[in-house]
Amino acid sequence: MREQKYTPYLFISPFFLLFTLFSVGPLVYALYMSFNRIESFAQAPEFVGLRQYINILTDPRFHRSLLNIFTYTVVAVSFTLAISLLLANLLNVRLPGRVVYRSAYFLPVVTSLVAAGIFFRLILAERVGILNEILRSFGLPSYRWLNDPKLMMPSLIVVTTWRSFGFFLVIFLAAIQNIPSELYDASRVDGASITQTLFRITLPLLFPTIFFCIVTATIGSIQLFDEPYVLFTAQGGVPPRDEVITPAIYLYNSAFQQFRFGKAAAVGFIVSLIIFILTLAQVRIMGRRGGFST
Amino acid sequence: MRMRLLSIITVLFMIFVGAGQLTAQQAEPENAEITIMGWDQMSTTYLDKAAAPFIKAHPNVKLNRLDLASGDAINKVIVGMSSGVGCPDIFICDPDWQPKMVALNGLLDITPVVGPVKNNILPDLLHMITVNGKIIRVPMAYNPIFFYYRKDIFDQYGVSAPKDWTVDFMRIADKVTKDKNASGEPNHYLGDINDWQVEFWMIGRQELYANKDGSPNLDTPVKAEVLKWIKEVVDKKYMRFGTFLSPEAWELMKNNVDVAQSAPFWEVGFGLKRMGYKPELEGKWRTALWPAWKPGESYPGGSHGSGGWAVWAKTKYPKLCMELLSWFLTDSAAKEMAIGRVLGPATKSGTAALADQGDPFFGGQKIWKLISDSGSIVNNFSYNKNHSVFSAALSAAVHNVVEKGMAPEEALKQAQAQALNDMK
Amino acid sequence: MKPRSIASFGVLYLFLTVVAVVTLLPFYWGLIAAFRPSNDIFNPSLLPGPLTVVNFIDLFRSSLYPRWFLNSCLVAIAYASLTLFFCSLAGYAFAKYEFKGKNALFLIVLGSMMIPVWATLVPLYSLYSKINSLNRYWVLIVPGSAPALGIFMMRQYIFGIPSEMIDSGRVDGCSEFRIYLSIIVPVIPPALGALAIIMFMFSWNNFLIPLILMQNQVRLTVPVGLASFVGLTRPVYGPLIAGTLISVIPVLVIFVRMQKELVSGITIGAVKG
Repeated sequence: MREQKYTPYLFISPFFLLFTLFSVGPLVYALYMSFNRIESFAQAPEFVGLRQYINILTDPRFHRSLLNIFTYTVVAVSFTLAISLLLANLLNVRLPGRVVYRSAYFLPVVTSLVAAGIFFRLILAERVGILNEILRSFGLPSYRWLNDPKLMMPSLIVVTTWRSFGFFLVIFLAAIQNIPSELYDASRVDGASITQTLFRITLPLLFPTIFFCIVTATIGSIQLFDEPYVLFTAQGGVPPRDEVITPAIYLYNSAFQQFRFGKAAAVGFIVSLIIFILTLAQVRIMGRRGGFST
Repeated sequence: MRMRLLSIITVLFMIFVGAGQLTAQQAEPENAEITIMGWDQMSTTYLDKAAAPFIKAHPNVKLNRLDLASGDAINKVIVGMSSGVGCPDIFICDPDWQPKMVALNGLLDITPVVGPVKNNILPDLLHMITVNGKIIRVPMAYNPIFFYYRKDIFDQYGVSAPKDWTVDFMRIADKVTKDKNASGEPNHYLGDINDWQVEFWMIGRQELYANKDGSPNLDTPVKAEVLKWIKEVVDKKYMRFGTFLSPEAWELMKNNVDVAQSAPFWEVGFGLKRMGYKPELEGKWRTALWPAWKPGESYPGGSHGSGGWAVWAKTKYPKLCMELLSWFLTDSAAKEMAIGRVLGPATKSGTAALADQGDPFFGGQKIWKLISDSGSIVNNFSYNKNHSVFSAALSAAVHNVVEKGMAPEEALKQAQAQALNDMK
Repeated sequence: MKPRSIASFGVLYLFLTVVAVVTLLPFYWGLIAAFRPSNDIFNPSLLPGPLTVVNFIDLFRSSLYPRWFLNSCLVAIAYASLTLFFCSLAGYAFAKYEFKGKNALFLIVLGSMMIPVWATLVPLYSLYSKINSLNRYWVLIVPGSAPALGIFMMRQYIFGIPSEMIDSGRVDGCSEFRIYLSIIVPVIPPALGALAIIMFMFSWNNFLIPLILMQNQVRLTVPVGLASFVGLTRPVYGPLIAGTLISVIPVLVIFVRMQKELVSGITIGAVKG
């Protein structure tokens, strides 16, 4: 039928239309911007070629942001997925009230980001925050969670983990429950221990899901902006310090603190390239075992 | 099925509504719409009162109020100015941002509004709002920096307000912080300190952030000396680092832990009342002049510089905006603004109008008069369009010195390099 | 999987409960703080003191919070609906049709996920301002309304629909769109449910875009509106915390009610494939 021939194209056209208008078009314009020095759109841009790219790639602060985001991604993704995986396995036990726990764990995920940021700024405050208050009541020392250079990144990781572990938990839980129970019954008959069940049955079967989560979490982590911005922007608008600067914040600073829109566009490109390469690498490495099919 | 149909209809409706307003955009002059952007919810009451006469005179003009957090507000303004579209008509312009906005040609010349009442504006402020002979802001307030202290507790230790920061302050601080609690923390701190306050010291010592050619001027002996001083007061636990202007600071002042504070008037002055402070404490805080740096010097205390109302150069309604702003300069408006926004009035007559508020300056009436009557205390302090960049670099240097133990000279060198880098 | 013994049962419960408590602690603290007077917010006691609703009153009195809430709801619902429609269409096409360039086009879809939002922020602002569309609701709803994640999930799910149903529809002489409406759509509610919640959440929590694009106090969404309580140096935390609590409720309600669909939807979408 002729209709069948063009229908699929029709059906996917909304996506491609929107994509072209609102992603590709601006991206192309951003590429053009990255070769120009633009401090205001009301004035003519000044062509500078690759200079902005060179400035960015030789900026120690940019290097720091890359280092930060790399460290952050590795630690946070592992940490978050490990916790959600563990909890998912535990919740898989046929416990009454499981749904309640699941809702509790998911609650941080639905919180508005600004509000979560404010909550934690107050909780982690040095003298009046309840965390330190609790520590002091147990005779433990209190810490400057948001100000001590050594503690800023760990605090950030804890906050983002708090926010996102529930999301992956739900995914993992669903995946585990998808494993046919005959497998588990058979293994119990064979006398397998819990660890053996975990490592020989659950994890291998979960691998596609784990892989999907790793890729998703990584892509999200590299683009991290909101949490560090809300937690660490000092009063007076001073941007987050180098200990927690991420490429996204670096871009934001370039655009809205230094007003180098061309430079900001260039940063966007460099980071997009990094994401792209990283994701490609992940797919390559895990693709075969993860069964990632197109 | 019905639900989905309903949602689709909702969506289409929204799109039509949005599209429909596209065509209705052409506004007639009688139905003008002016967007005023303030910083926070506290702009509300005083703005409404100050604008009341204007609203009465122009019932057809719609005033859109937009209040955003300051960092976000600045973004909106700058992006709007940069793109040439979408900037609010009237907004609060910080002195830090003024040079940048001037560079973007984003500020309307409002000399017609402010010029006639020039002589009523405090001299220090007049200097700040004039660029190349044109007045581009209506000053909102005057923010001199005071030294606040708990006289009752200072009396206990037999000390009075310090006269300088290097010798007298250290002597006083040593006495007041002597008593420690169980965790080894002093019972009393002489306030808190932050990278932001470094600016205050620079103002006091007439140090600029930038050279005449616009390049950063961060690596200087004066700045190194200030950084050394900051590290010393933090190490000796005379002051705390990193909590300035935070909710913590208020708690600690409320609970008698912080017994001194050096800050612009707006924070501590009326703020003590506003934050639900214990009324009995109010009578115990006193004001003193900002101390000089070294013994023998003098510094009456200039202004940190406060926000002012500015008009977007490309507004559709320049005349209306200017008329609205003229109402902000009346005595009643200045007084409302002082009370509502917790700031000092920008005009001399406004100051007089505050007389019925008791003593908002905590015994500092004389000091206020001295400061506000003085000529341009800080006329050398001019901001640079890259101020935010330099400020951030200096802030990083402060943290490096205080928290990582870096040598001040080293930290300042790094700051200078970073600022130069970010300027490229 | 059944637990091995009563003891391990108990330990399990204990552990899960501790984790739940730690997770919920910030909310609990926010809850009691919201009912404390504004100048007592930082009272570190974990027990609620005398209750007062003054923060909520302040919230409604000194801001347009109800209007923001309405804005957020409308925008999020519209966004979720539009997304469902576009993503299910495209997902169906990729799952059940064979056409030239299908694989390449799908790769493009996946690739689109990797463009960070803020990379195109400034050019987009420029674009919208030139077509006079700043401050219009549609810029919050339409641009991202066919997200790749949604298409991906839909595709995975629709794979599982037996092709015989589709073929029989064709034999009956239905138009392709009819097939979509009458056969595909009724069968995918679980996946739709999951996608709807995710998209609703995404729109609800979106901060940067409404911040930059909305010009007028009346049109702000909840996150941006709440942020306006965090002024330069005098954050008013009472109304902020109250507003936050209220803002968590819609998504929570939706989640609680649609948990089953959400879970099975994510299962099919994310797990099988």
